[in-house]
Amino acid sequence: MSVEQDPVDASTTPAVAAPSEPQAATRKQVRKEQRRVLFRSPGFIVGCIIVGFWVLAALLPELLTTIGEKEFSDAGPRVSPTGDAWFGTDSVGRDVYTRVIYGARPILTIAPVATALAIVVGTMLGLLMGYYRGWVDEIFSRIIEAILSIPVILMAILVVFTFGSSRVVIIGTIAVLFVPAITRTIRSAAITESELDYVTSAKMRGESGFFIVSREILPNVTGLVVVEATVRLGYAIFTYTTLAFLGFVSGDLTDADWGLDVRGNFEQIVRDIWWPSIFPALAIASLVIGANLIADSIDKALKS
Amino acid sequence: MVNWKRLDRARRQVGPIEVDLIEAYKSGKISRRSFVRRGTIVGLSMPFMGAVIAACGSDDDESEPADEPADDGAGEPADEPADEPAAAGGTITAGIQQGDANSGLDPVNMLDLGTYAVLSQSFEYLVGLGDDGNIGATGLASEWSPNEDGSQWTFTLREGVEWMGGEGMLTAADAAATIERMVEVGAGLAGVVEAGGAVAVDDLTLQVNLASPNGNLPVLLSLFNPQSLITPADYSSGTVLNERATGTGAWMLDDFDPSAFRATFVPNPNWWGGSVNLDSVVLQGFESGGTKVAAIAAGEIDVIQDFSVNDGANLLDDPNVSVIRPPSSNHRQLWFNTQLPEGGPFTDPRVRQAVCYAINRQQIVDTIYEGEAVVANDHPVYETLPFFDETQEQRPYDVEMARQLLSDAGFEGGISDTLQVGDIGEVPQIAAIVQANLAEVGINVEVSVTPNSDFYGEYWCTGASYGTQPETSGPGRPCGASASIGIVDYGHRPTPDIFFGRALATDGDWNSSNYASADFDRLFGEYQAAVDVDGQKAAVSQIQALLHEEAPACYHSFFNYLVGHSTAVSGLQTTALGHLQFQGASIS
Amino acid sequence: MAKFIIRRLLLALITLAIILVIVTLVPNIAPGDPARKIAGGTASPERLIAVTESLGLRDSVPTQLADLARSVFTLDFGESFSVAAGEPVMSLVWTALWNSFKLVLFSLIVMVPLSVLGGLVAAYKKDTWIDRTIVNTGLAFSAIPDFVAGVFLLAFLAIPVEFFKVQGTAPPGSSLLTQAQHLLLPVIAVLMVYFGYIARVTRAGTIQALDSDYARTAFMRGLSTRDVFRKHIARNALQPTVAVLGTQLGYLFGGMVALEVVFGYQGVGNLIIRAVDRADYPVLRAGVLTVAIIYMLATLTADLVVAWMNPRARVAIGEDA
Repeated sequence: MSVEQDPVDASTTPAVAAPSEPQAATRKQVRKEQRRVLFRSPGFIVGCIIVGFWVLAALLPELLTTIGEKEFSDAGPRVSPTGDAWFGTDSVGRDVYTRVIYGARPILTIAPVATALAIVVGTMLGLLMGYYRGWVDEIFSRIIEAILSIPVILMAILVVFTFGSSRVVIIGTIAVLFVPAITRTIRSAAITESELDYVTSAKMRGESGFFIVSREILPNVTGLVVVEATVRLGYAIFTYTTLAFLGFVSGDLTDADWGLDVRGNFEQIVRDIWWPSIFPALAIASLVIGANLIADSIDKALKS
Repeated sequence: MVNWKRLDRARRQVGPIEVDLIEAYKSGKISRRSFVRRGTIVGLSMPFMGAVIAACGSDDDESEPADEPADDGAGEPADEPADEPAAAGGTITAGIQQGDANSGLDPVNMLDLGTYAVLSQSFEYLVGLGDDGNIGATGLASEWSPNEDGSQWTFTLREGVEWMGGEGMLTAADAAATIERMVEVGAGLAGVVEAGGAVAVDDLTLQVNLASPNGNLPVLLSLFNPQSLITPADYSSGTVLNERATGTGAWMLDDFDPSAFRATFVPNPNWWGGSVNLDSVVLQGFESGGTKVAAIAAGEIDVIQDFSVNDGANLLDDPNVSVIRPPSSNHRQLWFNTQLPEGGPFTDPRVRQAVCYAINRQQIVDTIYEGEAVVANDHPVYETLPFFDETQEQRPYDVEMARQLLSDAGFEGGISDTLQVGDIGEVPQIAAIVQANLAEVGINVEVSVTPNSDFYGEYWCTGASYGTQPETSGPGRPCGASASIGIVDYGHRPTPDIFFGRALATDGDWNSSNYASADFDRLFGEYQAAVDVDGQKAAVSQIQALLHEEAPACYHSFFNYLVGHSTAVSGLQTTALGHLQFQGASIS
Repeated sequence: MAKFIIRRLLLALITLAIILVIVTLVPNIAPGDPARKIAGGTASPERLIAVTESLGLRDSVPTQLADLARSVFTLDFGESFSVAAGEPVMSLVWTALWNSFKLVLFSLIVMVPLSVLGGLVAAYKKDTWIDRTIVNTGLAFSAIPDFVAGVFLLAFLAIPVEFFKVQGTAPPGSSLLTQAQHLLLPVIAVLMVYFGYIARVTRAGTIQALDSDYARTAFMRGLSTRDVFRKHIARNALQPTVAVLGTQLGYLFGGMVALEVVFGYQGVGNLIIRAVDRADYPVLRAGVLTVAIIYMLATLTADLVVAWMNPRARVAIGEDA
């Protein structure tokens, strides 16, 4: 899976190039210009609409459907999409549309939390490693490389198998597995920054290392952090739904959940009952694409 | 009209157990069908029973002409027997369940239908499959009979049966050693036969002395107790067929690939039953039911050992596939832990009853099984059994009653718990329905689905404090800390002995309810000891009432076991325990 | 070059060591008794002890680590517990690996030419609608999880069109052609996932090469597009593509778990899932190590190829991996 090497950082040069000029006055202007570009980008708008819709579904599902996620539809089981149940009903007799709406909940809780954790830890680690270098950096770099050499999904399976599949473990797993990639990106940006004049002059002024990292370098890599966050969000969605599809999720398994619903119903496709799995699959695809559109637009805007 | 003279002659030929049976039939207490089933178990021959039936006249309610079976449309030798010339040669490939690699191809320790199907090609049972889908003298024993109280059974083995592995001829010593091994590992004979109980009287006579009278012993030594495959005397527990290929059956193992679970068999030229039609039989394991169904729909396999309606509803209407429904007491037991946690809601029988009232059984039958099931009545006794008490009232779906019982028990405020289920076929879907049904009456359960390796070991029978507790001499907790409520799968058994003895008796190793009832144990003992239908019926009727009342588990439905084969295949025989008998089969 | 190779090999060894540590630690820090998980709830105490011993869990962690390290070099991971009891673990791994190899090879044959071509076309038609279509559809598809792509293919190709097979594995004894036919849908799913990604990398590399001085000079000298491409661009433009393919090989072998499940394909990913399902530690760790080692070898090869293509890259890779 292309979990690691994503389209955004695949474009050979790191995205830090543009915002790395140290003049404080122009930085503000650059930011403003970037925002203007961003808000006009069609990809960003479409992405926001898609993601926004699913956020709404997760927060206020009652607005979008009148049935409960575990209620049986009056239409009966295995009904193909019709007027009564316009996404059809599943093999237990629940309304697929309702399941899709409610299914936004687990994914939009787990993915953002996991991403946020990973970003905080990864950015800190990356900055420190990039600024201080030395043998600690060397060791961490090797560990990171080792972890990155096993596909994320396999590592996730290994960890979830070891520690159980509760939501907390899953969030922790996704977070931990994303840290190396984030660290690597931020670290190389921090190295570039550390060699620039403004850092050298701060050092000459006798500023503490902590001050330089948090007040001087961090603001200059924020753009990159934002890009990483959106990209990782896409992968967190990807990873969670895959884990759910493979059955490595526990909790109440009759809760609507896209990955689980695809898992529970995809074998029915050979019976021509495609709707209970294809609609949640479409939902997954749309959310991932939405998140990626946003990530891509931000990346482009920062480079503009 | 009863022909007393003929009847009398018949009665004089047999022992007291058989006479009881003949009396029960003559006086109309049991149907002709039940008479034949029961008669087969106690070892009456078909001609003999025919004579009795003829002597009793045909005033019996369901009695059409002599040749009984063939009316439950299922389980019968699947197809038209040998009157049309069977096409010679060819290979049949059957899709079976992937066998459990933990046991491997070990006859006495196997646990799954896939392995049953593989091992029963080469090995044979003492008592085989009868024409009516029940037992018959088609196995290694040509006849058997009990002593007067059913505490000792004598089996006469077939002559001229030879082991394929060069062990020489089959003798009663082989059978006795097999039974000894079964007793050692449990294998369905626990409490029935004790060590040393099986004795080879001479080369072909096997005598089995029981711990206490048991009217169903032949069933326990038939293919319906799958681990009872007769193996050579020195075939120790843990030996697997692929390492020591032998057997007395029609098929010889040619090749076995354990990682793909694929077994190829060729005919055994020295089989006592004569020659077979096919050149070879291939049994291919499948991980998932869906892919197995896809394979037969695509014509990649000729036979599908079993399929769920959920996966294979299309096969029911497929013109190229014939579906067989052998009689089946398959069920998914919803257990309640009647002891743990102490003081927990499900230790109160009223709460357990409430759950049983709250479950919409018809919804499960219609939705999950798409009609291929019947509603059950909170006990594991299947309705076609001769001793089934049909006068017992079916527990209705009654939400009001459930609420009432809950409030009587002091749980008006509702109950929250976790429903533990394994990831087995349709079980998670049943859990979804049960969850919604229970929510109606204020019982909120979270459904937890775990992989089988976790489910059986951690939630079903944890094995902690296994067996009765001698130190406290208190009631046993055979399953230790099993989950307080859960759903587990039970395969078909022709008599409920296994369900009673392993899932409900105090010592039962599958008793996830931790049900410890002296009443039940006593009634179960009475049932086992009863060698006549009357006695069995009396005990079973009380068991039904007891289980209904105390509700250690909710038995909501029995579902059909579905086997499919391409229309090119004929003469295949099957059971609801996964057996596939190809001896008379051919493919065109 | 020799120095570079040695340094790169050393890096690979360190990586391997770290992976070994992780894999060794797993059963030791797992909650619950792994032996009970493997043997099942009703196993006798003797069986539990036997299982614990054969897993080596009685030994100290360093001993276990040493044993596992030895296993990697002797290719002996003991016997499987529950996936195929008693079978040597390696025979299971080889079978799965061979299946994965077939899938990966077929995928590469289909995927590489198509996506490189897509990338080149996009680069030459930069900023036209063709470019945008290629880049955007590629981006959309590569974002979709593999199992979702697989499920779509099942519903919209395998069911309506009989030519496409639901099962990734052909019946045993099938011809090469039939096997390929069964593999087609998984391969299309792989293509969907990777096309956009590889095309983008190729595109970026090509654009950079086209913008470079030597390309411009070459055009000014009046060489045809084709000649310029052959002489100057191909080598430079395809470097990132090779590097990326190297890193992706590992994922193709072990990361396609969900896709293998959708098509019931018995590759390495499926083997690992089966091992987890049945708590078969020996198979699990052999499977994970296999994937990691393949990944390592693939990136190693890719780095060497890139270094051979471009001497300047040697420094970069050696310095900052």
